[in-house]
Amino acid sequence: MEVKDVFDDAFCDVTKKIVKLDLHKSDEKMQDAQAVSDFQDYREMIQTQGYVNAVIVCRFSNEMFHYITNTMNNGVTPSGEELPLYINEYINIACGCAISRINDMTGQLSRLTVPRFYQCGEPLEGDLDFREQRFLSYDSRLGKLQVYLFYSLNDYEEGK
Amino acid sequence: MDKKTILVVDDSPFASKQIKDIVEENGYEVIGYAKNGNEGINMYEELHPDIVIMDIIMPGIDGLETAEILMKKDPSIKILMLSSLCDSGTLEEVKSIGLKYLIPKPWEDDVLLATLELLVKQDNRQ
Repeated sequence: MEVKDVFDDAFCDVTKKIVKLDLHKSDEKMQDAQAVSDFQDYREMIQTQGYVNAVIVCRFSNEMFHYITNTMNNGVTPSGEELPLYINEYINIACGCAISRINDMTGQLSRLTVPRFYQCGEPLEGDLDFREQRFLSYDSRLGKLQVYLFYSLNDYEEGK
Repeated sequence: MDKKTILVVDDSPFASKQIKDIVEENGYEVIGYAKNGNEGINMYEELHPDIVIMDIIMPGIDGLETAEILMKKDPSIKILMLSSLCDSGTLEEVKSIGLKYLIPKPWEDDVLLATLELLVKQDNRQ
């Protein structure tokens, strides 16, 4: 199973469980790292370190972003201060599920950083120059979600 | 019987509210929320809860380090760890600092309640 497939399962399962929304794959085209950094939408970035070294960037349509954060706050729009905490938790759970599965499959460890929220138009900080780049694109009845996976697999524990 | 008291240490208001809803429907009382490890240490010393429910991935000192600090201060402390990272390696890390319980995010309510019950029974045996 590929890294991309593990993240696909995790995002679909977690979105269904936490905010009761079905994600459907869409045919959007992957864009390059510079475009990802320059997107004008709400975005979240989370990194992994260890066997999987990755930067994961999630791009939300306005409708999807507010649906997720409102639903996680029992249908009420969170305050501006709390908004990032809700979307951080969504990404933390989805990516944590994926990384846990990869850890168990490979017997090697990767760890997650605390996610970071980017307002519309705020440029991303950090290097997106990784060996592998994968892309997941979803439609739903309540907006769009894209997940960019920039990663490399670290073989430092091979042969142990 | 007195309600067992709980301190929640998690930077996520989503998780904190969900925990409060489920545990308070089932005979526990949440007496405090801390948004990070340092706040958790201070609130534990102030409130002396029966149980601490703590996330691992948090800003500043993480949940594992916070748990180690609290266990040095109070070796009888009862801690339930939560994390979106719930693989066998993470469980080993939790066990290596002397804790028994790690449940995944998102959790099943019955798993959370059953684990709390185990912690309470462990308390009663001492």
